[in-house]
Amino acid sequence: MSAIYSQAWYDDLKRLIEGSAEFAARAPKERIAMALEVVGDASSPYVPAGQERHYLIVLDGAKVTTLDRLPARHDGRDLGFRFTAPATVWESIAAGLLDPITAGLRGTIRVRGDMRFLMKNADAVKILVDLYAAQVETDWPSGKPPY
Amino acid sequence: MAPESVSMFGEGFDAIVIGAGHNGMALAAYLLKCGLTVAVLERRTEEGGGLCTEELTEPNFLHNLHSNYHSLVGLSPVYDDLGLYDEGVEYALPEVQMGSVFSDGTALTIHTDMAATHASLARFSKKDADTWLRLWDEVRGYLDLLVQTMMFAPPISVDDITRALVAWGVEERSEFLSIRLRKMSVAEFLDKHFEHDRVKAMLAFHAAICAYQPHVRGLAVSYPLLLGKIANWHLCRGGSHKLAHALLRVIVRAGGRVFPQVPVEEIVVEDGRAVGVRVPDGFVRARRLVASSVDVSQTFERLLRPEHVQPATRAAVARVRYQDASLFNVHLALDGLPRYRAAAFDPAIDRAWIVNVGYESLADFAEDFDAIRAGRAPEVPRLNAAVNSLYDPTDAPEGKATGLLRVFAPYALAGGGAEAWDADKARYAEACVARWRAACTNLDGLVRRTAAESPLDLERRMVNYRFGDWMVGRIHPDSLLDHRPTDDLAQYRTPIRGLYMCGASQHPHGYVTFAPGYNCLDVIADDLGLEKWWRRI
Repeated sequence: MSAIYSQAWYDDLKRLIEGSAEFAARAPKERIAMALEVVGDASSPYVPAGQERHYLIVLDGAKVTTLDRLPARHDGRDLGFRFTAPATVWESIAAGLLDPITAGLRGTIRVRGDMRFLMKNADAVKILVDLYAAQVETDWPSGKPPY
Repeated sequence: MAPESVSMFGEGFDAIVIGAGHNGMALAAYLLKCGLTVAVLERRTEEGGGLCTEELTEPNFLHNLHSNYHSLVGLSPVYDDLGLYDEGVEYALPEVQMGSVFSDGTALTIHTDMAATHASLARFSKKDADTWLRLWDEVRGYLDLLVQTMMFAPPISVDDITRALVAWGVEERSEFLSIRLRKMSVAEFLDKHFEHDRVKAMLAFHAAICAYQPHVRGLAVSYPLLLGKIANWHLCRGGSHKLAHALLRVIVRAGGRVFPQVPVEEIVVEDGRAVGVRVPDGFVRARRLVASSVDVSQTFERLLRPEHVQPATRAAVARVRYQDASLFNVHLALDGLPRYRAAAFDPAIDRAWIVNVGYESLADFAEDFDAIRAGRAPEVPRLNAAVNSLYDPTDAPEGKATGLLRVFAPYALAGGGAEAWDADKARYAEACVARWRAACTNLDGLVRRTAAESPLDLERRMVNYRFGDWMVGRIHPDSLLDHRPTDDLAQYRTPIRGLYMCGASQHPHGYVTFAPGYNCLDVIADDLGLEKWWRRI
């Protein structure tokens, strides 16, 4: 079990993605870089209001070649997608309390990038978001949502 | 060998854009900022295309002859990418966007404030008002995604969209999105979710003035996107032409040239590649590309020699259909602002920018469009009445106002063809004004002068508006997304290397979205290896 936002948590996520035969069968052929932006809010005990956490995930086929925390916001160069949401939203998804597809549809997660790519790879997208949602065994040292 | 460029145009340009409408000029401006040399060649005496503002009735009364409603402000990336606000573009966002007045003296109003809209709808049906708020809330959530996917990107197929909706289980997560939308008309969508005729009429009116005829099967798939913009209708202060002028300034500042009164007579093709254009003065060389914002029919049937167009392309272009409903326009110079009788019921109607006068049920739309398809102008005109001066007092002398009445009408009248409008337009204009007068309390003393423009007049001024079609290709499932204008030409490239299509013939359609030019740019950038500085995510 790894703590939310720890590198171990992301390593677990990486293992889940790379271990998914379902994803391997449906992964897009193209290399794709995605930025995840976690915006601090007044509710999350992990990312205070006014602070942000930035992550870069690079998929090359079914391989996760990069899954790193960035020191600052990605400048957008060579980026395929940017997903931005309040910390509580990301945490609620990881805790299995919030459906990520619904969060995307409702604009709770802001998605920037070529939506045609996501639509053409809709099955792979669904597998990925399902893995993110509640599949990583998570430790919540400062409490678990709902807060 | 193509001849050398005539001296007026030097040694030619990297890129030549045919047509100085907003799509062509926006594309030119982006290409200039990529470092290309660019010329825009325009048939008319000024830039702008449909962004055309003239003192049509009297001096100092500014009338937008074509483009009047700009509903992608804040959603289209072009405004910020090109710095159009820095070049003098200003918009008003009317707080009462649109409304309807009904024969029994009631009125319904759509506000930017959705609580006010809810209150107005609730006077007709509380259930519909609540449904509206849920629909609005849902659509606002995915509007950004829809705009990115279905407007500001080259088109994908409705099959791809459907597969994604199924894979993501959207139907179970949404009250209003459904894969069945691709088979439904807007009217069927409204019938499914709303109960009151007048609520449905108001919402169908909004779709109709976006050229989405309410009873055309399959258009419901785009309806959520339309609804998401219902409170985003902007008015360009000083007239729509201000936007064209800002684009011109951007082009000139970037070192580009716009040549008015230079009609392109031919796109010159050499070894299967577009190498320039022929104009009355001679040949102008295009070293890297030619982009046509002229409609697909004229580009392929008039500007290209037949031997350069493959038979399959020629056949597909010949099958392109235009809208069966054009617009009849009456521009008015007024001595003040009109007041509606229905203001006694809802005072906000007097502040509504755009007012539906006459459509009271979905059946009214069916009746009008059936008549139009038979070549008959609706006998009693049902109006789309806009008073720009409510939100832009600079468009008329102090205390005065402009008005614009629009009616859906056929391009060709049964028995007389399009030319029959020349003899009939004064009578029909008076019928339109009479209809408006009946809905108002004070119009009798207000009308100073009117100027009528028939569907034929639209086509005469704007050669792109074939058959008076201001969307430059019909809004129908068989001519949207990756079918627009034809399957082979839908991705902005053509079978002729170096020739691109960037006008409203292309996805998504007409209206001031800039999307056809923007999406064409994306394809050109791929082909030329240009850095997409505007696509920074």
